[in-house]
Amino acid sequence: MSTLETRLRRWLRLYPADRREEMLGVLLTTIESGRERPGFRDAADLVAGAFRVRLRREIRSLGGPVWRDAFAVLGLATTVALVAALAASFRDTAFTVAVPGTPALIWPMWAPWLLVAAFDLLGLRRTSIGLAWAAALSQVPWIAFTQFDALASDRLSANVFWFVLAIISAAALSMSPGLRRAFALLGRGRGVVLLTGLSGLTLALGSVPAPGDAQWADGLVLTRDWFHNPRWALSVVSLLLVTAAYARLGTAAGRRWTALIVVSFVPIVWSAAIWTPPPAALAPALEAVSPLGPLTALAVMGAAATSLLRRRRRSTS
Amino acid sequence: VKPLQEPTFLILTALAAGPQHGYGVIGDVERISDGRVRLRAGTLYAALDRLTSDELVEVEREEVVDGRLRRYYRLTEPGAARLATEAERLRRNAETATTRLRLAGGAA
Repeated sequence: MSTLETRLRRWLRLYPADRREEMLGVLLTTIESGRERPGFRDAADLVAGAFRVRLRREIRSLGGPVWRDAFAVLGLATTVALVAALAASFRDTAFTVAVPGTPALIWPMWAPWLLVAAFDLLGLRRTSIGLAWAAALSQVPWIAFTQFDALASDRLSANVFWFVLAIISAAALSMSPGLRRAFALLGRGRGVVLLTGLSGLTLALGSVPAPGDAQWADGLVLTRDWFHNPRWALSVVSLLLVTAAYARLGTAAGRRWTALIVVSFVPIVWSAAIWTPPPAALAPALEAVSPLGPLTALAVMGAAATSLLRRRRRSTS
Repeated sequence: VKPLQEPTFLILTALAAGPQHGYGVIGDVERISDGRVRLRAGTLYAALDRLTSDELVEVEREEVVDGRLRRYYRLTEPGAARLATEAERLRRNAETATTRLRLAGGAA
């Protein structure tokens, strides 16, 4: 195999597998003989072409089974996060700890998520989806009428984050085969890792912080003296376990759900900057970009819903 | 119906003469356009990918030549109809432009 062929094969990995071999033949014929690598224009054209092919195929597959599986696992991740938020919320009310900047309690939204999960697992999918939407949308008047005083404050951004996460969860449950399918996709090993991680996280979030030593950062209570605090270590280990359980890059659906979960939880990842603040020049840009993550997940699901409706309309006409 | 972009129009025109593989299309498009349009592989296959999924073009056959895969594409019936519509639209535009230029030339 020539040096040019080896390099071209590397470039062609950008393309879906079914295109690579025939493109290789054409490239080897069209690229001037004696060259060891494609020229700048050929390389730029290959990248642009790959982007167009991948994007178009992705958009076409949005209403298909791979994305529906990805939405199932996203539904599981977001439902679980909302249940964990409920546990943290219990902790705050039960122990009435003075936590500066704690978001207002959102009972109408958080309370039903355990039921949403239970109904789904029992096979009562319509009830579960209806309850999820009701719980998520119940936040609209709350945010619209009672949060003006909190405008532009951490409290509002935290509430909006949970609100958007609830919408993502309701949408993901509506457009997927549900939580049972999500558990089947993850498998038993990952399921055990996930539950262990979640138990640890709930324990870390649900334990009582020392009065006055905690602050909110988009939903997670983090202590300032983290290096002395076992809760920090427990949170990190648990988060690593949860991440390991969800991350799956070996399958088409796995890559998609991993990407969806990452973008949906970007604000929480950003909140970790409380431990290791980014350089001052980067911080405002990162803060401005972080809300785009969950909005991207919503946009993907919006496009998938449109694609699904089109398919249904086509099949009935 | 959206007008076709020039590379797409030329690819469909190349395939209107009969089935061709990728390299054949590149050479034919260059001939049709008098050397003005030289398709690169990325542009060609992005267009072929779109045209096959829109069912304007389909794979006719595959063969292996010197250990390399060659895939031959042909125009489908909807593809031929789409090309005919586009050719008619361009013909009418060209005719209008020519007529008006002639009139403007006559008035001057």
